[in-house]
Amino acid sequence: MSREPSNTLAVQVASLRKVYGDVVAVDDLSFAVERGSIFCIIGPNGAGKTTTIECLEGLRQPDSGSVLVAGVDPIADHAQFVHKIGVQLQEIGIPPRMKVREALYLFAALYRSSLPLTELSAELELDGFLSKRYGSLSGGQKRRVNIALALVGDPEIVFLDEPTTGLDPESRFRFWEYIRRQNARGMTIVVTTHYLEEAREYCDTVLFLNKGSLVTAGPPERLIEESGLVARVVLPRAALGAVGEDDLAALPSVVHVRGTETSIYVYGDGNVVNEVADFLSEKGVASGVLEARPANLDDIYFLAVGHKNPRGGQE
Amino acid sequence: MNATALRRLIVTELLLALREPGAMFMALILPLAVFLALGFSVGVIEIPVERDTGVVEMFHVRDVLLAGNIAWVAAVFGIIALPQTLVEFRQHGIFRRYRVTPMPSYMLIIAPLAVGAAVIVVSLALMLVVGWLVLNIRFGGSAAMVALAIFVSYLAFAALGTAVTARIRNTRTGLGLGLVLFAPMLVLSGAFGPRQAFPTALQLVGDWLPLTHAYDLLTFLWLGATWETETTIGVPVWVSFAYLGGIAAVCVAASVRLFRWD
Repeated sequence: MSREPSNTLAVQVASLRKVYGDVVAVDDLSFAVERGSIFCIIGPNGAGKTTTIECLEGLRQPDSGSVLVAGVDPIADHAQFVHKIGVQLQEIGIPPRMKVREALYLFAALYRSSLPLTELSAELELDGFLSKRYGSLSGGQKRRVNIALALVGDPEIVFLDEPTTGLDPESRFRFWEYIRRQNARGMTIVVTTHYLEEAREYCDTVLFLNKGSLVTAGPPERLIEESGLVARVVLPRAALGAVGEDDLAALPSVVHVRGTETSIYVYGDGNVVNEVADFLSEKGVASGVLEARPANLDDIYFLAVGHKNPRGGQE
Repeated sequence: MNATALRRLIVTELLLALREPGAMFMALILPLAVFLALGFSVGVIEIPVERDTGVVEMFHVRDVLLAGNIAWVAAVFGIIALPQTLVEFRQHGIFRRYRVTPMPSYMLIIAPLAVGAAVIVVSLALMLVVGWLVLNIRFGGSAAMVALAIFVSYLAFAALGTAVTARIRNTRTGLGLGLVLFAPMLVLSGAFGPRQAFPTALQLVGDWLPLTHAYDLLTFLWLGATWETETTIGVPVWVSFAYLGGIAAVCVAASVRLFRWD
C-alpha cells in the first residue's frame, strides 16, 4: 500500500506491527478506510483491536509499518492531526470532580469548530446529568459523555473504541442514529465493537482481526457471499443417534461442522439444508429436529475467529 | 490552542480546585485563622528594625504574620495540591486523553500552576484586608521584592513537588509523599513557632529546607530587608533567592527527565 496521502482515503495502514515484550499484538496489518464511511473493527478480546485503533490515534508508536490518518502521520504531524480527529478511549480520561457540562464546554473550546452542544447533549441523552460530576456517573453514562467529547469538535474522522459496550438497547439505537447523521454530513467513523449485529446493520466495511492479524475485510454482505456460506443448520445431538460430525462433514454442500456437547452446527452452501435433511431421513432420524437459518455475519465471525460457540459453550 | 481554550481550561481547573474543601481550607481559612489568633496574642510583641541609616523603626509581630503564612500556603500548593492534580491526571488517563486533542500537554501543568498562584494571591489579599481592618498591620518593604519572593518560593515548591511525584500513579501515594515532605518542613522552618528554640542539629537541618528560606525571605522583606540583609539562617537575602531559584532549576530539570505522562 502506498505511503502517498490520498484524498479519498481517511485511513491508510501498511504492514503495521506492534509488539509488547514477547507478545505480538498486531502483525503485518494493512487496510484502508474510505472517507465518509463507517468502518468497523471486530475481533475477540486480545485480537489487537485497541492496539490498532491506538496506533491510528497516535497514542502508540508502531514498531514498524506506516499509518496515515486524514493524509497525515498521527505522531510526526501531531499538531495537524489532532484538529482532524475525535477520540473516545475505552478507559476514563476526565477528572472525577469535573461536571459533565464543564467537560463539554472545555472540549468544545479546544477545537476550531464544534457541534451544537444542546443537540449533542439531547441526542446522547446527557441532559439528565449535565450538572453531575463525572466521577458519580454510571458506566453507561460515562461512556456517553466520552462519545460526546469525541464528537464535539466536529472532526473529519472519529475513533470510537467499543462505544456501545454497557449501553442499553435504546441508547445503542440512539447512538447509531446520531452517528449515521454525522456520517451523512461527511464524518468518517472508525469503530470497534463486540456486537456483530451492529456491524452488520450500520457499518459499510467490517474488518475481522484475530491474534493481531487480519482475517478478512469487506462490506458485510460481500463477506457472507464470498464465504460460500448460505445457511446454518443446528441439530440437537440427543436426537441424532449414531450420526456424528464426520458423517455430516462428508456431505458435498457442507463447508464446516462444529460440535458442542449438546448440538452440532453445520455450515454450508445453498443445498445444505436439503442435503442434511435427506441424510438424516436416510439414517432414520426425524427431520423435525433440524433447525435452519440463513448464514450471517456471526457465522463468518465464528468460522474465522471462533473458538466459542454462539450458545456459550466451548467447542 | 487558542486563548479561549486556555481561559476555559484555567476556569475549569479553578472550579475543580474550589471543589477540594481540604485544599481550600488550608489555603484560605487556616492562614486567616492562624493570622487572627496569633495577631491578637503574640502579635503585640514589638520588633525593632534598624535601617542602614541607623534609624530604628518599630514593628509588631502581627505585621509579619501574614508574610510567614503566605510562605507555607505557597508550600501547600506547590508541594501538595499541584502534584495531587498531576498525579490524578496520570492516574485517570487525563494526560493521555488530552494528547488526542489540540491541547498541548504542557498546558495541563501550566493551568493548575496558574490556579495555585491565583489562590495564593487571594489568600494574601484576604489576610491583607482583614489585617488592615482588624489588626492595623504595617508594611515596611518593597511590594515588588515581596512579590518576587512569593513567586520564586512557589516555583521552587511546585518544581520540588512535581519532581518527587513525577512517576507516582496513585493520588494516595502522592498525598503521602507530599505530606512527608511538607509536615517536617513546616515545623523545622519556624513557620509555626520560633526555630531558635530547637536543638542545634534540627536548626541546621532547617537551614537547608526551602520553606525556611521562603519564610525568612518573606518575613524579612516584609519589614524592608535589602538584598544584603542577613536572615535567621545566617545568609543574605540574595543567597536565599538564589537557593530557591537553584532548587527550582534542579527540580524542573529532574521533572523533565522523570515525568511520566501515563
